[in-house]
Amino acid sequence: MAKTASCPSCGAPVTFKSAASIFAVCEFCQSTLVRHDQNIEDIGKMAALVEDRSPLQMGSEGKWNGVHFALIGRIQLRYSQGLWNEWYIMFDDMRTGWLSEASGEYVLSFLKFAPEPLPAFTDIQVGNNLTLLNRNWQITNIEDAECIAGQGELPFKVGAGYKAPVVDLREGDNFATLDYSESPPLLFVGAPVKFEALAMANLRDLTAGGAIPDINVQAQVFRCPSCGSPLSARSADIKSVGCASCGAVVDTSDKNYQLLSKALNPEDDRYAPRIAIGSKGKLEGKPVEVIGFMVKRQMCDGIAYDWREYLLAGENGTYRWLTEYNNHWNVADVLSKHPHSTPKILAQFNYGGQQFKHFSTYQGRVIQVAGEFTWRVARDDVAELVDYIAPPLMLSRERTDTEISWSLCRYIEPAVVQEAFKLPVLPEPQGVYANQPSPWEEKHRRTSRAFWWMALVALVVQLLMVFAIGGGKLVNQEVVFNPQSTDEIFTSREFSLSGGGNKVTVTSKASLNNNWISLNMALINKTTGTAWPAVREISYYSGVDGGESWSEGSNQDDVAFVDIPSGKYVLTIDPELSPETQSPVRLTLQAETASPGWSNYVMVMIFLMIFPIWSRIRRSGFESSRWAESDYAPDSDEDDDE
Amino acid sequence: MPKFNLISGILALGLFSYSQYQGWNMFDNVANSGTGARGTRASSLIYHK
Repeated sequence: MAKTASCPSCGAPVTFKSAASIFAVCEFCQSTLVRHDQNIEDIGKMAALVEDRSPLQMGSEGKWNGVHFALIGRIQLRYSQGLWNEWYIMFDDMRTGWLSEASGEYVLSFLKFAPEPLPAFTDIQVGNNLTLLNRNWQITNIEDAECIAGQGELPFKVGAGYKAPVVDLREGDNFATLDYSESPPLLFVGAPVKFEALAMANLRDLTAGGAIPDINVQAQVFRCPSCGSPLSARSADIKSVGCASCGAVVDTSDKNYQLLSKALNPEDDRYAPRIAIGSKGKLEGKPVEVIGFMVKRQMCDGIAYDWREYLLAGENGTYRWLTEYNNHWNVADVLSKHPHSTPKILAQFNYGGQQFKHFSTYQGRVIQVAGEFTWRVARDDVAELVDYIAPPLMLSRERTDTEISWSLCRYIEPAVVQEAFKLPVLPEPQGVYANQPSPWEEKHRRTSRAFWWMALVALVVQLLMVFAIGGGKLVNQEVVFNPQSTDEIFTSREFSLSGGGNKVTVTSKASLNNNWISLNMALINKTTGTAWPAVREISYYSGVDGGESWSEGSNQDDVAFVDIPSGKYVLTIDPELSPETQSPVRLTLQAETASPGWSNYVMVMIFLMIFPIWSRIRRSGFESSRWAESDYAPDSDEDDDE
Repeated sequence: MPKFNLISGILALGLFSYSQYQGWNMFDNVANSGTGARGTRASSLIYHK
């Protein structure tokens, strides 16, 4: 039930919408008011809010799980790397909660009773696990934050300078915060939410023409303390600015504009961004502006591998990243839901229905900074990076002493970046990148599918031919040729062929040993007298030489007569025996209409297999090039062994 | 490339089917190799006896 009172300082009405609210900031005179049973106490002026890029404002409304809520209070907190907002929200069913807003990420959480004692703030370390509410949480962030301003009504007494040591925990879709500003510490449990899912209304009109705020009068404009070049930070979100002229990095959260990093030396590597800072474009249909550029370096075996990262400001105070290495581009989004909660490096794991494999673990060091950043980045900042790939996706875990964050990167062609920012032609990518999709993957899949279909068709054709055409015995006779009567011509019994294009195979088996016989065959059509001659020689020699037996030739011979028309036929054989032949030669003669052989089938299968084998070889070659850059490269194993 | 593969495969299947129907086999010892596909009777003789 709402309670309205007058501000003791200026007399303006102050409304407490929630019964849980004990504290309010007068929207007219900034007096901080504490609600007692009967009266309201003015405890002094609250510091003014720092202007930021938040699309939210007091009175903004939304829906969560079908229940309408409104923003009724806000505290602004500063932490080591930047600034974030905690919006105090009240639902229509009188529940209250917190909507946290940091660097475009939104988390909805509710105060919970902690059934078990919570560890001391000093005992907590990033990456460790903590069992709470029957869940195994991972500690992902530790911050010694400080409240810098408040607005509206709040459930506790807070003022500028109010210390808020906080610890963030994540477990799958769940999020929790341990707030050590009170004793015992408070536990807030909730989940990251998509801004769109909240169906927010009554938002701030950030710009007249677009969703991304321009640099305006509220922006800080100053000169680089190192070289004097003009610099600007468009909002209080921006905590550091890198000078594009000299490479110095300036702390914009401090009005003295202290240097976070000195200017680059002449011997330092210096990179020019391919996309100029300030470039505006549409990436995947959404407006973005390049506001920051940094170069990071990995050292491996004394070789420097440098890559570039571009910070993109998007809609509703969100941020995205573009990364570039050897002209390979990725678009990256920081994940609210961490893929897993274990500090270990897993060989592989499932995320979003995809199997991600560990690719590499390395240290990245910032070597150049230009433009604006939402945290206090400085040159020589170091983070441990672990990359897992499922092309075209890559999950990248970045860990510092105080924070673990995950990014989901998706490989994009240079043409996409070129089109998004209307750039001139970008250079062709060099080599194979970790999550570059293999062009041979789909080709191999299609080729393999086509192969199996064609193999099936070939098998069906072969079986149909075997069963439909089949083989039939025509002649099966034995004949004896005597050396004394070689002028005799053997004539087989008559047989018939039907249809056209017959193939007749004749198999002759001779009882020979160390001898030969020549067979002058003829297949004769008895009606037309047409003859198809064939001269065959069968020879077989064997013996023992030097204790080893040997043989040469064969006792059997096959000959085929093809394209024989229908009709009645006989097979004649005019033998010629070697002069040394003394004993009769027994010949077994078989003639049959040939069934289709399997040799053609084998040949066509071999031919068809060439295509999937080729595409597989190419695919393997691509994958070998990919993994040659990983922790699992064959060379790295050898190096390890040495 | 995939179209080339597909066309090559279909042509191979067509040739295979036709050769099986014709009884062609490159490993056969063909007596009348000058006949057959070309439909000639070049190596056939009129037998008179």
